[in-house]
Amino acid sequence: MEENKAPTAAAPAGTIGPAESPAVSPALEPEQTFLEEIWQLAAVDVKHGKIVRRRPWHDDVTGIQPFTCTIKGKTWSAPTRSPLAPYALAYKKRVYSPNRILYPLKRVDWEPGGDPSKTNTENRGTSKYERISWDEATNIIAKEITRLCEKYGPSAITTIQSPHGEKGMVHKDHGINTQFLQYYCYTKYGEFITGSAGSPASWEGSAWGAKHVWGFEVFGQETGQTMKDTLENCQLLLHWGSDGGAKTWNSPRGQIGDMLLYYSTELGIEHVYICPDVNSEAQAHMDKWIPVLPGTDPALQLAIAYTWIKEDTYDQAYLATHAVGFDKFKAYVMGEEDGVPKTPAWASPLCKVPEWTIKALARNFAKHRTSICHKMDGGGLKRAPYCHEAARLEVYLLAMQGWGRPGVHQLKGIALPTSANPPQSARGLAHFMNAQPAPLTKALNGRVLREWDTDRPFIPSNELPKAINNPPVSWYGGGVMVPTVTQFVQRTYPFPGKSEVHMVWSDGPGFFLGAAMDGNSTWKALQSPKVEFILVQHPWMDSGTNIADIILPINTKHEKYDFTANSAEMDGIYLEGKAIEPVGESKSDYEAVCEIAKKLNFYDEWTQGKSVEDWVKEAFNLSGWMGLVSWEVFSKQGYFCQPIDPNWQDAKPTSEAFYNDPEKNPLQTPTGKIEFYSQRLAEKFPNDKERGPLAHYVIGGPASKGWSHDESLQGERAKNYPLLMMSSNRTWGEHQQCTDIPWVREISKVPGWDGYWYEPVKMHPADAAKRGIAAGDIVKVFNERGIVLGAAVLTEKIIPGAVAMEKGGGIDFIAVGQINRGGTNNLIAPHMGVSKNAMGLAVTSYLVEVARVTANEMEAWRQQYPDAFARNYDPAYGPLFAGWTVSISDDQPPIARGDPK
Amino acid sequence: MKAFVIDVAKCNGCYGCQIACKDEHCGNDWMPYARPQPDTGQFWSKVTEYTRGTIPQVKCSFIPALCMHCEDAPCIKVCPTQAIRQREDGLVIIDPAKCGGHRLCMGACPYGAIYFNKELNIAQKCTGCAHLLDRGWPIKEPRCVDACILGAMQFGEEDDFKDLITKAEILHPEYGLKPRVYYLNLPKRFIAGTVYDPLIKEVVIGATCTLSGDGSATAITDHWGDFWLDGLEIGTYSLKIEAAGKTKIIADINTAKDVSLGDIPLE
Repeated sequence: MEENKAPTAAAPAGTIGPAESPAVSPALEPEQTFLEEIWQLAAVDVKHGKIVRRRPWHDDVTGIQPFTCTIKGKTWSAPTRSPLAPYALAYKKRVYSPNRILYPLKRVDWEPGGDPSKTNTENRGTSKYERISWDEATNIIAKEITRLCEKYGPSAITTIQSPHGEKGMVHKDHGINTQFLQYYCYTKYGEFITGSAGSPASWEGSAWGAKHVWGFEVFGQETGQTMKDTLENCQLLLHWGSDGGAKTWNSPRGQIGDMLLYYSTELGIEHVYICPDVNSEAQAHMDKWIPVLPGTDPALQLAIAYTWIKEDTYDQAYLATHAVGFDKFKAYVMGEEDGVPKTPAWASPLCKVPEWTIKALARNFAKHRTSICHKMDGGGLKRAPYCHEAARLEVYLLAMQGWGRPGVHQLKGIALPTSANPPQSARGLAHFMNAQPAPLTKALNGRVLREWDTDRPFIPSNELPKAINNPPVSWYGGGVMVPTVTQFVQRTYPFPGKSEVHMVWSDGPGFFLGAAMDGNSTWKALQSPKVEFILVQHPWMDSGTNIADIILPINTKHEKYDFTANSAEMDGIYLEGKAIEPVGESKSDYEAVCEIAKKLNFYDEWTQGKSVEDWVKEAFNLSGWMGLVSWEVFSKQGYFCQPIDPNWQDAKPTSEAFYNDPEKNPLQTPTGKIEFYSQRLAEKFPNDKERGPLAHYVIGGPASKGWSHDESLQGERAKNYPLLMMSSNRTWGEHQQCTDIPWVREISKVPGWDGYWYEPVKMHPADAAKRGIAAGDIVKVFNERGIVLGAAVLTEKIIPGAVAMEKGGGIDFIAVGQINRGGTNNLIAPHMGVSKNAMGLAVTSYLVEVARVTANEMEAWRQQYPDAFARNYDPAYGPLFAGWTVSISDDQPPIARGDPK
Repeated sequence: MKAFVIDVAKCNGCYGCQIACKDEHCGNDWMPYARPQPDTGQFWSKVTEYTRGTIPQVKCSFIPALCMHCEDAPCIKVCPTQAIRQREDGLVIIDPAKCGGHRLCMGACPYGAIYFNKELNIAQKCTGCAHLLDRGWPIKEPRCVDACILGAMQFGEEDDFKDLITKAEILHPEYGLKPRVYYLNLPKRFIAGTVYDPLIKEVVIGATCTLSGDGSATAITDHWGDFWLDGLEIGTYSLKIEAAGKTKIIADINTAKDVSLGDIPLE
């Protein structure tokens, strides 16, 4: 690839060191500044070809006044610095991480060709790798793609993309491999590969539940600009099951969400956190904490409804004009359906909220203008078994209080408005390279492939274990951001007349292995000899990369020239300079695919004759921003920003129109109204006892009785696994990322007695005492699906009966698919979907037991799995790249791993 | 004179200050101001979390701390090689070139702000990012302050902070070292609880909660039945809860730690 001539973005006078000054001391040597956006926009200073620091970008150059608002006489202004997440400040360590993949690798005991005696697929996750050249690697890859396409057809290949990588425009991860293969295979063979996607992972409950109550395609969550209305009118904000700070920090607006919460407190809004643990947002903002057992929110919600009905403190007139089916809900709540009135006395032993507090919550909710806030999508409340019920009940409660009236909304945090004329949001732009290649669109007569297409092969990544081990499989729905109608379409794998999958190509395996459900089953399924070839391209040897047969080294944003968009305190587009040379032999995701394209004689078609510089310009031209600034001006200054809409105050919440006139402003439901009872669900799934037409408190039961889940304390399994796992998004990284940053590990990991740094397992001291667990003990968190190790942190910040681990601590198997030392707990999450006909993720609020790991037990594992204990490890960085290569790289001296100190 | 003002009430515990300090100093040589900080084990800027109270009355506080840049810095006096000096702007700097690794300064600093770098045989600590202040680019503030988007940490001229400093405290005033790191809203102790009527199983709103003993305070239970008697000194207290003719007295409450009394039946 041509050396990228990076414009020195953010190079205004004053920010760059004096280039002419003699280097009298290291402190005075000149530096050069680049802009790089990962989560948020950072200024990256470089000296002698090395990154010196990543820091907030100071907007002292655009001349744009920061967003300012005055409400109730108090003024708040957006910062003029980019609000960097703590781990974004530390990302330099990821660039130079000893876990970076430095060169292409081939698994030592894998040979191409699909011969089971030579693929040794059962060793995926245990065998090491040998160094090969890019030329060798791409030769193998091209030959395998050709062989599999010719033997089975293109449907033998699937790609699994990372939904949370660095989000580049031209060089991006996020499915550039998919775009390439669809284009190549359709051109060469006239067929598609097997598409793959996850599910609405962060908002399962909304997607599978709330959508059927109030529409709101495609998320099932209230949309629209509610900032002014909330700050002016909301009195009580219920942060219910919210994930908190973790989700604030990894959004483009970073900690601006936190700033707005502090401002809202100043304005008199009361913040109540209803959740099992004091999460990283609650600890800064809560006025009151109502601890609730994971997964039992429906009991609490029903008791609130009961109190309102009993005391007549709900909006009957609103329900008469805005909703259908309330009578059925009322009958269920009052016990007319099942003989059990859903009183606070009924709910309290289930959810562990005292009866008097339930009543106080119901009364304060009804008395004050109350909104429910999820940062950003609902956290544990919306990613649990049967979470569609809690999500539906939440909408029922809002509806009973006249949802849409001032101050009564569902919020995804208090969100800043956008600029007046955003041609494309940052997120929209980030999908630029997900747009399929123009020649393919032309060949398809303008058709754009969608994840919910039903006329081509598809496999949801949640169903991988069943699909590989036990085909055929059928399911409803599929895809992440998909319309409700897809939930009524049954699909099957293998696609009729097409092959099963024999090759997987992923650009970020950490997500589907470690952030999806029951990763142990997925991992074991991918050890099937049926899967002849797994290719992974990724910058780090982190969670899941070592499932691959061939690994291609990918670089970070700092190592290439690209284009980006960001919406922090304002919307802007930026050129990302090539701050440093690529580390090792790494290439960008785009460049890696280009190398493979060359070997398939498809390079000219794939690149369409364009250089990276051409693509960057093309990205700009397609962005819609070219009407606001010329390429000449933009490329010279390296940034272009727009202020937030000066008329932002005129924007109304979308729910206001429905509130004022539901007939003229119908919702996206069959009746256009709030559907307490969904006729559509009743007709399509008449026998679904897990997601009926009306939301219930569903606790599940044994599989023998037709239940998908038995994950409640009322079930049989609770006898062996009596604790409920509260698994929230990661505070100290996004999903599996950033577990190799020493400065973050010092905060987020706990040194064990064996020298290994473990993921914290947060328990109440009372639960720990019952099990003889002391603070700092190495513990195993386990159920029938496997064991995850951690270190006990005893805290008052969690309800007794629950245990909290954040997602994505890392995958570092002692025994592959059985014992994980790294801390990622999704490996032992349930393997059924949210429910029978809702194929989403259920990755929190599941049953586990916790026990102390004794020295004898650890020693027994050490003897049984010596290789796992011998692999290179540095407590400050975690598992190392050198632990996976047969010859240790010169610049990575071996470090003894995990010996008792 | 340069000073830091830290408002604990504005700190959300993001640890950005601690991490930005490492980003500036780990692996970067800023001679003559500082040699590189090791990746782990040293915390020139350090956040400490305090979980206060017990479920369900829990509060969390985060207190960032760094070298206090004391006016009467004891580290300066004990250094046998005169490696530590107070600059004209008040920042206290250990000159890595002069430091002989005697470690007397570490013992002399009661705040524990000085660390020993075994590999380089020098004592190290916060420099106030003097190298950035002196050269004025790419930023003119210490990294911790630049990273604190919430504005919990401020840095500037002591004189300009006069109004804040009159309201502020310092850590451990008993040391008498005149530190130039000032704190606003440092947490004291609280006594909290939820008052309810066990007969009707309702929270009691408007109950008067009066504290006596080593201090006095009064709170009225709010619409959750909760009272928060906050800002208390360490001591022993007696709490009287009164509502609708009912009275409850809880004696001998010690506030060595924050006290959550949980759900309190008022019979």
